Amino acid sequence: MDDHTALSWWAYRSLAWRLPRLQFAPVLEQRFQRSRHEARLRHFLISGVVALVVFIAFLLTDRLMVPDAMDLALRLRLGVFTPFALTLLFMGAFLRRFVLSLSVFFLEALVALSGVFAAACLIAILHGSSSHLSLLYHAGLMPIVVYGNLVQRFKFAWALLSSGAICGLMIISLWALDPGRFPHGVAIALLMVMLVAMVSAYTLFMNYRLELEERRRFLGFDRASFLRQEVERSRADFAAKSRQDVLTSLPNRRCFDEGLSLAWKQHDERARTLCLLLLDVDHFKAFNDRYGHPAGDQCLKLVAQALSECVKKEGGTLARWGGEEFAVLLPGVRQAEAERIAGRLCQVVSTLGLRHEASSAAGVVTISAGGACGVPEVAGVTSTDALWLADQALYRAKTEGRNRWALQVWPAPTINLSARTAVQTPAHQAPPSAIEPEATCPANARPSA
Amino acid sequence: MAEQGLTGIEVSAAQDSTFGLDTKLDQIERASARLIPWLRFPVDVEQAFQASSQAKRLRLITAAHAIGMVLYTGLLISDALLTPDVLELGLILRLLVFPALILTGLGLLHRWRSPAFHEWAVALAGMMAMSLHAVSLLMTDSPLAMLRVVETNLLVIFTCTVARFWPAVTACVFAICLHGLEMWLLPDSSGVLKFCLSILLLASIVFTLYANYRLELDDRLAYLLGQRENLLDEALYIEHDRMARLATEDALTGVANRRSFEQYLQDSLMRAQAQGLWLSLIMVDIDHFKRYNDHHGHQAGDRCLKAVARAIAASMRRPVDVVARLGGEEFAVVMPEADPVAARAAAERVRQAVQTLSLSHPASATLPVVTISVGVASEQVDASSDASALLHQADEALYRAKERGRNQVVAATDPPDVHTVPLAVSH
Repeated sequence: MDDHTALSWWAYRSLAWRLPRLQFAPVLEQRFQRSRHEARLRHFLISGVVALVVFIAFLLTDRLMVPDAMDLALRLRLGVFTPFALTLLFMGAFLRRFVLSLSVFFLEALVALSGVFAAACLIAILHGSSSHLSLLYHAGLMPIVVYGNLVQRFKFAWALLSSGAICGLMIISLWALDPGRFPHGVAIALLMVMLVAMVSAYTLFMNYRLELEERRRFLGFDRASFLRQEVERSRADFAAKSRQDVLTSLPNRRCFDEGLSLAWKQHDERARTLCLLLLDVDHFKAFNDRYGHPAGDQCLKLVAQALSECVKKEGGTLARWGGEEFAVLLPGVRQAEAERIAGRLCQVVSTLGLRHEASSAAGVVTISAGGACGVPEVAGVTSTDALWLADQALYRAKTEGRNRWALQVWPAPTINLSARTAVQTPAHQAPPSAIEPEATCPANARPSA
Repeated sequence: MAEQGLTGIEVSAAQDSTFGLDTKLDQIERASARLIPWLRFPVDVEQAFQASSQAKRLRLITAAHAIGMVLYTGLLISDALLTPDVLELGLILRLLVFPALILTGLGLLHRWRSPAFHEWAVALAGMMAMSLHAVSLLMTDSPLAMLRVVETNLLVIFTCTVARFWPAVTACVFAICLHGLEMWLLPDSSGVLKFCLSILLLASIVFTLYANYRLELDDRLAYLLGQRENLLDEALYIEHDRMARLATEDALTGVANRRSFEQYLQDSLMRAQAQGLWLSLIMVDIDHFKRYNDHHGHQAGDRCLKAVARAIAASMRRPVDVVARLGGEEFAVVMPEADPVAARAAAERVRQAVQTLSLSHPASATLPVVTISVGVASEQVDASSDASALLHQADEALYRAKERGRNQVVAATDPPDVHTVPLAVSH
């Protein structure tokens, strides 16, 4: 299919036909010939065997029409043409690789020539006879023409040449036989000329259409398979892009949601902990207002890049949740580790040192993180609940002054999800909604802007 | 989870419009597999195929009949040379009867556009030619009549090069019957011609029918491949369209995204600049959306955003007004050629439309339903105009609408508020 990529689609389309010459643009023509080369050889072999059998069977009509030339007929049909045809057929059958390595031109020419040779044999037989029917027997050229043009389907140019040659041979032969010496000889000779010439014309017309249709079919097949590939590629492309955020190239929210529900299902089976983090760029609206939207986009890209590297190291997934929010999924991560990662993420962004004079949190761009940690479905916690918990934790981190993180752990015996009241700290665990100083992102990790 | 008031506004996920493609391609695959040996499609495909090739076929058939008429007249030469006693009959048949029949047939063909009739008419014409030919051979006393049977080959081959396969088969069967009749009735002085002519005819019939079959098979396969190509072309177009929308549309709500909003605003500004036209910008923000999300959950929040986006889009009356989601719960509308009055009216329509959605919002401090605040900025564009200034004005107006208590429209040109005590705008 590299040919396709070389030619643009429209160029390919417009170059495809060069009517009425029955020829594609060079690249395509080559592929067309290559694609049918083997089938063509097979067809020639089969139709060649049939032709040989029919040619020998016409000994029967020889016997009736020109009995005095029977000897010659046997010699020519069996002694000359048969060995010639058999040699070609054997070569085609047993030296396939050699024959296929020959050019298409050569193969087609050889087959068309053998048709003319058969006609020449018949004419020679007629000349060996003194029967008055020998004139009429020129009608025997008709099946040779029909067979070559329609059954063997010579390439149109070769069909034209061979039909022309056979008509020419016939006219010379009739002339040489001196039809005037037979009763109604001239009339019969004229009838023969008319008959063979007309049959040649009709079958050439049909031969042309046969090749045209074959080419049309090839082109249709070729285009359809090209288009099919394009559609598949486009679908795959779309599937990938529709799950990707345009600005940051991170997975988007839809992709994250799918990943989350999948993680939920899998963790359901293995009952392992999982941590969910929501990250929010502090005072991002102020940043946008002060530095403009393009700068805001740039800021988001840089933050996304920094976060992505860090999350990748921890074996998690980072997604753009929307606006200035990011989400992280950390499978198999317990609370202590989650705290470390949340702290690390806050630190990574502040160390970027992106100037943000409008921020009340620091002179640089910072993020707040809210996390939820626990085993899926324990205490009936769904992924939506977990998101809500993480959001609550984020809210706390924000109200506590930003550039810090807070974590919420489930199960907590007093969680009342439907009432959406404040989550209480389970006594047996470390402070989960960690608003205590040790649980926030340490200020000394922040470089001075 | 509370999701009241949201039924019926669910925007279905982006439909996979190419879903039906594989089924259709399968149908085509099946149709091509069933083509051999009977050269037949399923009924509906057959009809479509006939209809699509009809014009081309009619041209071919008309041309072939015209040529056939000339050639048939040409056989007068052999009438004159070989069977001169029936030359008069030949003249009548070849110059009057046959042309009259063919011309009538062609007239009918062009008037009565039934594909099946067209195909059978070809075979019929061929059979007629053979019959008329047989009539003059059977009428003659010339001993050379038997020779002229060879001309049947010509008629058979001609019919088979034009007709479709099954009509061609019928014509060939008819030709064999006629040939049998001629063999039975005509004298054979040499005693060998009967056999030889029969063999010749048989060879012609077998060879041409084979080619005819082959030709129709290729024609039908090419048609199927063409159909396949059309389907795939269409699918590719849909894919490209989807891809283009992905870059310009907001994935959640289907309205324009911020990127294309900025582009459109800039374009509209440029166009307005050339003629000094008005350009208006509406900024929309959902009141207390954070609380809505907290109360109903994120999924309900998403549905609310979709509903609001739809309401805004439905309130716009001109296709040039482009609605966009700028992010979060913020929307904007670019209104080219809209003066302050029109823009304000549109903004008010939008506000009312959202309020009439009656999406329950118990956590709102404004009303128990979802409401929006709207800021409007309009400008008669000149060379010094600039998109960010307009955006800023609209943003300011929106801020004032929030300050004044939300669920209202404020234009940038409205007089400043009497009491400017800023209300605490909690996010």
